[in-house]
Amino acid sequence: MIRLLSKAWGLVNRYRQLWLAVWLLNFLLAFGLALLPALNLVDASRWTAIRDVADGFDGWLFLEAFGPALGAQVGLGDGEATLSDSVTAVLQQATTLLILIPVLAWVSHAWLKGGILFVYQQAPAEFQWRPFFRACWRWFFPFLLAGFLQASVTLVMIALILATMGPLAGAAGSWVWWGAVPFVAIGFLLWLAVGELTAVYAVAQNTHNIFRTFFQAFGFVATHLLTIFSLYIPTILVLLAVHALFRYGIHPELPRLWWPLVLLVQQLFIISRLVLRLWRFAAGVNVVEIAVRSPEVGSSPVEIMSPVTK
Amino acid sequence: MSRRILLLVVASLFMLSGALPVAAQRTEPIASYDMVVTLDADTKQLTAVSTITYVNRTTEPIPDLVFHLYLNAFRDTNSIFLRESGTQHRGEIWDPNAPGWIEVTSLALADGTPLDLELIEDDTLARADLPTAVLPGESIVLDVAFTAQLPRVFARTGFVDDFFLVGQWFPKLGVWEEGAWNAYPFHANSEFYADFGTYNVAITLPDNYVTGGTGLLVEQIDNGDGTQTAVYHAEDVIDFAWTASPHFLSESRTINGTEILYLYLPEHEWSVERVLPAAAAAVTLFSDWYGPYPYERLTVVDVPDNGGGAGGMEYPTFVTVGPVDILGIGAAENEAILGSEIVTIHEVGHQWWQSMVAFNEAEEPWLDEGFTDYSTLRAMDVTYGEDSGLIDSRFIHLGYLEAGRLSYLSDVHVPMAGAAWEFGGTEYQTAVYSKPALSLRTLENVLGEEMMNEVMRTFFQQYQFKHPNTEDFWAVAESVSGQTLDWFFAGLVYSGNTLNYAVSEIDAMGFTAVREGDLVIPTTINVLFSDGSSTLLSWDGTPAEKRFDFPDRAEVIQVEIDPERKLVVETQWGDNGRSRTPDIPAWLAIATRLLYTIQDALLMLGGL
Repeated sequence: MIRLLSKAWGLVNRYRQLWLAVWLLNFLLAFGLALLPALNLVDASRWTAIRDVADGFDGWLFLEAFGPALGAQVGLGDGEATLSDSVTAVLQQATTLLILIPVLAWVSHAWLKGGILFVYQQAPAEFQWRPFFRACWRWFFPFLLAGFLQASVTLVMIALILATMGPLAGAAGSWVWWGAVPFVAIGFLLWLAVGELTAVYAVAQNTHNIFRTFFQAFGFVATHLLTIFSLYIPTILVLLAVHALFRYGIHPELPRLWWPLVLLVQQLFIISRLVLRLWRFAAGVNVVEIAVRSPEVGSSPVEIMSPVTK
Repeated sequence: MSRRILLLVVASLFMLSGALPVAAQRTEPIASYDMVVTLDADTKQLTAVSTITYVNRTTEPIPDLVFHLYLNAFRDTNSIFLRESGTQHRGEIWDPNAPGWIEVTSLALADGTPLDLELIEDDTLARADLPTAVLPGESIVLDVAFTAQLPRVFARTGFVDDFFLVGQWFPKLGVWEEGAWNAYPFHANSEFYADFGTYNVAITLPDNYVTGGTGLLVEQIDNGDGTQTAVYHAEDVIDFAWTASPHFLSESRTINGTEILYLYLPEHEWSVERVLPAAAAAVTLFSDWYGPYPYERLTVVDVPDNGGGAGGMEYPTFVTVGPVDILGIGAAENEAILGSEIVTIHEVGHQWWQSMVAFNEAEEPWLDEGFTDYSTLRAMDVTYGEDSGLIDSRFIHLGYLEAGRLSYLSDVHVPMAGAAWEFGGTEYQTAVYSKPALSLRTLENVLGEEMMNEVMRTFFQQYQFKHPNTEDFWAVAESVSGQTLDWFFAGLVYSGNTLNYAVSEIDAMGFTAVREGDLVIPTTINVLFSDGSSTLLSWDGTPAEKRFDFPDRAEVIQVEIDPERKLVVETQWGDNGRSRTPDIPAWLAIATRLLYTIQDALLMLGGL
């Protein structure tokens, strides 16, 4: 398994153009969404209190944003935008973002996944942008559908867990929540594997039939639990460690007003997470490749096809 | 032993014993109670006899007596309390299947002359004519027998399972003032008002219970029949409350000669290391700021998770706290949420501002709650760090001051003065808690901490064991500070005036400052110039709009009114400071965080 992970890392390292692709899309989407609210704050930055907001989130921002709306009918004359007016406007735009972000996340994920998996399956071929984009387009709609179905099932599962655990915890005590954590974590991990391997099988078999590949992935996961755990547990643990280091170690210590440094560190964190995700995809491609070429493993032998380059 | 004999024994025990561990009395008792009570732990019922000694220390003859029968507020939905509260109090709901009530079974003078007790108002008050008036300087002794049914814990009293908080449980005399009894029916927002006296209380209950109560436990008798009798003695107090549970554990520590005893439930063992230090800090700080705590013991009581109605209540030398889930999110144990600390410090603060300086909580609730909440704000800052409070996590912070401002901003126009029943639910919170705390903090910032301490200390020492009112505080504050404080008393206490300072325009030559609202508090203005120099101006807030020009200085680049944010009652700080040009670094810092937040969300939700 170490060899598999190492080989996968080799793939990730070989195709660094993918790092750029995934980061750039993430950055540009976020930049587009942030632009309007940020521009609305330029004029508000004439108010010196903006520094309190810039220096970190606390109750002060909350108060200044919502305080006047709560009944303190005071403010400047007509036409004067106060800081709280601006912050309130930004928060209203943030509400719109709450709807847009999941949609864009879903679409961008579906777009890139086909291209990434295709590139890894073509290894050690040279990276070319045109085939990459063709593969993105080829699997865009099937993966859009797959993402929608996976998200829907995930939400239903979360709702079921909460609906079951709530009364249980109420009757037996809050320890029930903690007792459920390992089971929920294992379930989440297996479900993640099924979802990702569904896409890997689809690209490997050059098919749009994601329902068939879902059952193939499900069969593979069910019969190769050790392989799945060996692949997913280390990669997830490394991802969690990166999160912990950034969120608890580095980010709280950053002086917020040193924005170039903050921007740099934040982007490094984002890139780290993206690369770790690519590592898992590459390992998934390798696992399926071995499975489909070995007669004793896998649900059915398939031919590895190259639809975009043939 | 019959109750009557036990009562005599209890009374004589205190009269004859010179060895009791109690300090010298600090007041001349007015209303004193010797009570013998039995708790039936199964039916949750009390049967008791009480000998009341009332001394007329007024200059008027008193022709009748008026008693509070508070437990009748919980008998049915016809009571004023339950009508006004909609059967809810602090998130707890009155249980119609477990009501509370009190019935006086006999009332007589010590010589056996029976008195007719007439229930008045909604049965939470009762009145009896006396055969002859009690003349000034004379005293009267009464024998009262009563039965009380405790409700399922609600509004500071009752039971839950085998936990008992027994408060407002006995017939208690009102306060004779200005030719009449100052006694109101029990209103939903109202608390209490009583004269100082001495209490001797013998409580008989099952022998597996641990008890706590006002004053000192001076004797514990094993009756040999599965019951015990716990005997309490308290002097210079205005009330007597007690608690019992077979599950109580205890920890204590001694501060300045006062033992702080924490009675806690086993499931809340974690709270020991939070409640006790908070109580100790409060006793230390308030003793230092206002005056020493004179009692030998302060009992702090934990309450069960399903008995929240018993938590957060103050009685003389006895307060209830418990694990307080102040945000209502099941996070009482979370160390980032300082609910337990806030409530502990607040309730201990009432020892000074209710138990010793005994305000009329019904007529002027802002005094005891406001003084206490202001004291809590100060003590939280000193003990847990500047502007500490509600949430102190690494990622989000909501200080107690900020939480107070949030509450204040929801009802800025409500005056602080007013009787408890004159306020609606949220208005009461603002008028009685947050606005007084913010107003007193503003007063402290205007006068200076040292002068404020002097004002508060003088007021406490002048009025401890007395019943002062707002006018008394006004007189002391102006006398000690040497300042006219109309803005505080006329502007904030007796009216709902508001204040917002703002910089309405700024140019190279100067700026215009405006004051919105009728409240006028002197402040300062910091002006920065393009050559790097600055100046700090004083502004008395009049007129409502004022232009400041600096023809002989470099260009003005930035102005900030009240730069240290001393005026915490100001409704909007966000418009106090203004620059001539946008603060691009600050803007970029915010834009960077916004960009990252969206990137993070895209990654979390989409996987890429």
